[in-house]
Amino acid sequence: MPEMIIDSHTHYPFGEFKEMKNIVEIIRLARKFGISKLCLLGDVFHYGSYPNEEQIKETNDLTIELTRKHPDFLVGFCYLNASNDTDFCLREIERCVVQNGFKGVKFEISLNCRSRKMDAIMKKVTELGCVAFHHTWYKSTGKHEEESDPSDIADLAARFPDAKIVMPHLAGCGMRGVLDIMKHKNVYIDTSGAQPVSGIIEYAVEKLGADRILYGSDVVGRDFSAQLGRIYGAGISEKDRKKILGLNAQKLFKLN
Amino acid sequence: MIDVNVSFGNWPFQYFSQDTPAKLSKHLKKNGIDRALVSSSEAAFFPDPDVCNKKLEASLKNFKDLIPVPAVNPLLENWENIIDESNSKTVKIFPGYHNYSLSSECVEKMIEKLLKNKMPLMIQMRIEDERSHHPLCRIPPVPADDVIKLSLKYPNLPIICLCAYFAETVKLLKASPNIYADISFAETTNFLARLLRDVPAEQLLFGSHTPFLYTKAAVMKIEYAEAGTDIVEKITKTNAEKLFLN
Repeated sequence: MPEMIIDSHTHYPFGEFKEMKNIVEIIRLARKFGISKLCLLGDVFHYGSYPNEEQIKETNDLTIELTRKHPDFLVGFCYLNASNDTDFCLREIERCVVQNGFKGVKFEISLNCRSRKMDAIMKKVTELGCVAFHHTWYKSTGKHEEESDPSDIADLAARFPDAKIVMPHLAGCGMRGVLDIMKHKNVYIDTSGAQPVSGIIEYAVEKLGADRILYGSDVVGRDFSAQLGRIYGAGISEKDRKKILGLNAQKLFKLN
Repeated sequence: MIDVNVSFGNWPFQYFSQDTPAKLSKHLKKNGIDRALVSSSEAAFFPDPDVCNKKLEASLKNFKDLIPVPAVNPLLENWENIIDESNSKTVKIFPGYHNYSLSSECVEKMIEKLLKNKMPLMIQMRIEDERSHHPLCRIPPVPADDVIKLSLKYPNLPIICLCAYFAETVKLLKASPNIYADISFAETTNFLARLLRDVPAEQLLFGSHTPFLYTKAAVMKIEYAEAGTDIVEKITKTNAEKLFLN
């Protein structure tokens, strides 16, 4: 096992996974795999696609509480619905990132990232030097009304070339998604999403370089075993594997 | 370990590193897999799967660890010949790719033959996550309810479901003791401990879905499983031995 594994993409739910409510249990499981930090992106499912301001605050309150309890292990990210009032979003970023040390924000499917309503929020994220995670997928089964795909992320990255953006779900974005963001050096991709489809890690390393790839599991919907298995199973150099498993996230999120 | 879910051949949407039987055998051994049940990946699309079966059998003939499993399409006239002529202990069907329902009359006839020959039936529930299919080549998964109906109608037929999702696996295995499932697509946090809360280990099988998925992912699911060694032994070896290798 390498010295540092950072899981850049996890969710801690208050809803359906009652038996997983105990964060101590998730930390125990993570440690078993040599993981030293978990990035919490909030429970993005509990309140549906368009959480209101109170629901967003409740989600972030939980992340604040958890990161305070486990400051050495948990890294907070501020969950946002960009279609909510922009001033509220900016205040929430201030509360989470500036006051509580979160490392970035997480957008889900409430607003397509081509929307100009994103701009003030992205400007704030850029000014603070934190990271914007934005849900993405190329789905042949159809997408939600406002869901973003990698071409939308490419548009966002072009509009905000100084912002650090993480496009999650490598297997969901596929080769087309990798190509979409290839020229936008400010976009990183995480390895979460779908089954551990073979070949895609090697492809992403070839096209983007290992420096732009982060290990992420999407736990609690997924298992650390299979999601780390795709990194250990990929035909890449040990140097690149270490970058993907933790070194890149450490640098990007400015972690100790 | 015995891997019940391995394929060999070409695939339109992925290139595979294990593109010779020697490479596949070496790769599986490196991952701790001693024997594997192997089907032709090309049989899903090729008009006559038996052409692929023959090609597969010829390719694997010098590899005792790679056990060929023929693909059967019960809609085609040669399904009975494939079963009769094969030395295999089981056959695999691809209802989604071959475009028929498990309630079709042709399936009934094939099952009667399998029961007579005491052969378990492997069902490929899906090959890829439906969300990632080529937009012009969307193949429906096999409905779990159809498998359950079939299992209740034929309680003496062991049915092995490959690539079922976690929730499907629970639903299938709880519904009928003659349904089995591999672990390749079943995933949630601490997946095996959670699976074993609802289903018996006797109905679970180690399957990696190599080369479509990284083999190491399935291996790590077992290496890190929070289950006793006796349970792991059943899932990775003895259940498969009882079904296919005796």
